[in-house]
Amino acid sequence: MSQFINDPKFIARLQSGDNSAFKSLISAYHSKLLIIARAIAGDVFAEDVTQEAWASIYKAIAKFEGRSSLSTWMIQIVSNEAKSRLRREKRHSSYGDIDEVVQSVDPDNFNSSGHWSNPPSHWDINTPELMLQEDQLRQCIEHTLTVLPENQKAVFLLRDVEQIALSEIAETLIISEANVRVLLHRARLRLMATINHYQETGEC
Amino acid sequence: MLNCKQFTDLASDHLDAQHHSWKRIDIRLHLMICRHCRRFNRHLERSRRTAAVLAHTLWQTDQRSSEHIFSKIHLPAKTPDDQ
Repeated sequence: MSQFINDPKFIARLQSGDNSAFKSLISAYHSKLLIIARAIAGDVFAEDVTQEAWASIYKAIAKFEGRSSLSTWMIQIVSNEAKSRLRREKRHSSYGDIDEVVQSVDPDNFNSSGHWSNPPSHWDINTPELMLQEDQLRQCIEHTLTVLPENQKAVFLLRDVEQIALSEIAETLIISEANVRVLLHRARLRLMATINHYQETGEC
Repeated sequence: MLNCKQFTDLASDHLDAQHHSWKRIDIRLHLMICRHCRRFNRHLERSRRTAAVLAHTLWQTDQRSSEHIFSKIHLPAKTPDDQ
């Protein structure tokens, strides 16, 4: 996703110590880093970990060499802060491995041979651009994004917003790659179910 | 040959191109013959794209909170030369 934060001019401002640029960076990324901290270290430590990550980012930004994108670099920093907090507190990842049973589409939608008995319905509002213009639908999706379980939220953020590779996401969140895929599938199905319900009923 | 239920379980991985070639061929063959699964696949892809755009703006912090977070960063003390 194209963002101002990857603009070389913006990065140069950050590296020259421009505090207003740094505040814009906080504005764009604090909530996202918090989601990652929460998924690794849990709710109790997340705020603290993210604040420490900002201090580390501020100190190290001058040395950022652009070998990865700025967002990936920051995500790595918050992930490392969260992992070292877990070690200090002698705790394990708050989520650990999840059961790998794939959450599937309602089995009632299929007949005994596994073919659709209740196939997906036509969507009248059928492109992302049109969906984004529909205020109530936006609110429904935003609500679902807000109430997703923290680990699904983190995986959705890292994969579908930040477009990070699944193997890197697994390392960042200290879970297996298989679990990343399961969590991602669950998050996407839930978001699709929200949109589908709105398309069928006009309500969340 | 895949059935529709099996396809829906693999659909998210399919978006991420996570399958080996034989499985990919199996999925493509199924999509060629099944318009319902093609629709499901389209819906899943459009849902994730739409939600990603919204998540990007939803998960931002207002200016006042950003100022507060910034104020808690321990800035290096200024030396007399900086004054």
